[in-house]
Amino acid sequence: MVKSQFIPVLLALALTACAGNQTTTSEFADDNDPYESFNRKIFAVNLALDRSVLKPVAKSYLSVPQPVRTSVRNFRNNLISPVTLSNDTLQGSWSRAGVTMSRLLINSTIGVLGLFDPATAMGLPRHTEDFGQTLAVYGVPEGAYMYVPLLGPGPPRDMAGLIVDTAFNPITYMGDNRLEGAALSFAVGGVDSRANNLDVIDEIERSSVDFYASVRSLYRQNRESEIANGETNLDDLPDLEDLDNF
Amino acid sequence: MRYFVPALMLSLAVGLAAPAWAEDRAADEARAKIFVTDMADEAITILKTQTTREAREAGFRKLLNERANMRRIARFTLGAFARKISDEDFATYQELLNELIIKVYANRLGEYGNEQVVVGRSQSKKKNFIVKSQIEFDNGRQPIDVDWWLYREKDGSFTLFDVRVIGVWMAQEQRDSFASVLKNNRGDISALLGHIRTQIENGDNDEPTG
Repeated sequence: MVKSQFIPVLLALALTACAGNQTTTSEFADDNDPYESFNRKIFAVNLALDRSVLKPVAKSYLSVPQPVRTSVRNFRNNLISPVTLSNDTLQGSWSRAGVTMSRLLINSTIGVLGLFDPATAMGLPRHTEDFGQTLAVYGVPEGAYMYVPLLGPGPPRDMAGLIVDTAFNPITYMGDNRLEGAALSFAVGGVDSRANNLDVIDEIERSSVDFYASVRSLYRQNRESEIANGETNLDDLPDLEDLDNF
Repeated sequence: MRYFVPALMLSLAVGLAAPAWAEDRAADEARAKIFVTDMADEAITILKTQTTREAREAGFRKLLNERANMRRIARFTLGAFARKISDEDFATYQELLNELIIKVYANRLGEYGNEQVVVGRSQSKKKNFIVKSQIEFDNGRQPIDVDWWLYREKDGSFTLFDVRVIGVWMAQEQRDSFASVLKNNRGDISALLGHIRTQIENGDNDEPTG
């Protein structure tokens, strides 16, 4: 649940930066951000949009009683769970697919069309998968880090994933116009996540020496963690003994 | 037959040594979990009992000094630049980083205090130990996954190296943002030190949450 909320938060953060002059040196090549100068401009625009639109809307949304907001979140999570189910299956994660399917059945019935989440209390916590993660599992590289207007962090692999997931998402097929439902669902998820993380995002911005770079790091690290389903590969950790030898 | 006796002795030696090695590893992993449990308890006690910012910061300063190897963390968060700056600049950087971490976490954790850290399984390789945990809240909020990266020092004791919250290693995040500041200032360490000083001052001016 927490992880799944984090990506919309970061997307919301994208509607949140600082511009500066960049010089590229090989020492910093691992930020995977060859278009940093352009990305920072988009980030600045999104930051202005966040301050003028998303953040005020999110603050207003907090006046809606907590149980109502929780039910809206549960309902949306349940409705879009076929996205996770499709990607669990495509990744061959049969046990996780079983959990997602069980959650869908339980929450749609006992949980009154998804308004409540009894499945979590039954020991079936929510997880999310998306097609960007599926591509990563099959070895597709991230591609250069990109900032997309309105959407936020969107390296090519994740943007391709978003398009495919829109096709997996039942909400896409609910409105007269196919994009209407998807856009509404995205907006609701974004506002809800922003509302739940107002203080956290403010604190990250306040305490970071470079907010743009912090968001980039948060996004890329979180995606890696999601792709690995939260597991740590100890072989990937830097060698700390080297740090003592200088 | 010529090689049979040495081979037998070798396999016996390995057979006897392997369980001992496995026991050591299991004992170390158990100690790592205790280290995390104790450290989390200390942090929660600070948040529960110290209500002023100064008192919380003093508590975290003591915790950090006792539990973390700040020189190693400072070296890591500065990346390759640590080798390029003078000892004086590095000492200043380490001191400022220490203060930044204390202020950031005294503020970021300000809203917490009524929760429980449930320590889960651990993994280890060489001197690195990752201990998994969940922070559970008593107000119905969803639990948060937190991983603790410990390092076994030469004397066998553990020190904290990094903390991963919801999939993000905090020291890695600091390293990435510091590298960006250095890149955008042509590697000028004084620019980074200035940025960190500003953030510390910002922290001094913030009202603690909670």
